[in-house]
Amino acid sequence: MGTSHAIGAPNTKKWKIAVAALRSPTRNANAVVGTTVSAAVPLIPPGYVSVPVAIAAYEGLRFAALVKRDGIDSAAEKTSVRLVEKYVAPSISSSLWTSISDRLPSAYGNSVFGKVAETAFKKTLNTVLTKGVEAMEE
Amino acid sequence: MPTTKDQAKDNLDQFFGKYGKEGFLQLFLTNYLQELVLLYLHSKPRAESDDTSSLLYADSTGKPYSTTQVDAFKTRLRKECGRRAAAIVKIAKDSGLLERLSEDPTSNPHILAEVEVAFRGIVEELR
Repeated sequence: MGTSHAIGAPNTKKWKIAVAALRSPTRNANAVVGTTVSAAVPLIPPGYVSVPVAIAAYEGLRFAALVKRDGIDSAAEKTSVRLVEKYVAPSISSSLWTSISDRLPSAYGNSVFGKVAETAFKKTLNTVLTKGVEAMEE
Repeated sequence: MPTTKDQAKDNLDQFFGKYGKEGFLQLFLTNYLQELVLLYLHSKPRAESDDTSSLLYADSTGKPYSTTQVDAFKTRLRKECGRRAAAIVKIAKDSGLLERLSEDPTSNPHILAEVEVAFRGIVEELR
């Protein structure tokens, strides 16, 4: 049985520090996240985080504002979201991401960081649509 | 039971009524950072001893953590991602970027540049 890896581990001193933080017998989540982020973020080329995140945030906020003002059917129509009655939340999250993805340069959208943004966006919108204020308690 | 359209609208309105744009961005960035951290922790190791994917589930002697321990650690990882997401949102709020996120970023390259700076700021902000 193998494990699927989307990326290779960084070959840097910072990554060795992240590995040591995880290996520590008293592993500390703050240290693991801090060292992992410090090792990972500088290696991500400019644009690969900011473009998907900014466009997704804009589209998510726009959709919410349209729903508040005009209702969910009208908001869906204006944003080309395909609403499926049986799967309201996932159909909105998935369909809105498709619109976002269409606006992204393919290099960003098809990259592993584009997939990270996709999963995070769908999870966020889906949770808010199904749980409301409790989404923040997850 | 599936969420209806009316419930979805109520949930969305109540969430934004209580937490606003700030809350939406914070939740999105928490999820983003969590996915990013897990992506790297599941990356292909360069050496067997550096296999972070295994170290998430077993200690350095190979003794597996219990499911409860693994779940608790992942919950703590998420909490730390949330703390960093809050730091990014604070940068975005203080700089006025949060308000500008209501503009289409593809028609204003400054917004994209500001998001880049805010995101990369967390490397220095919180260790």
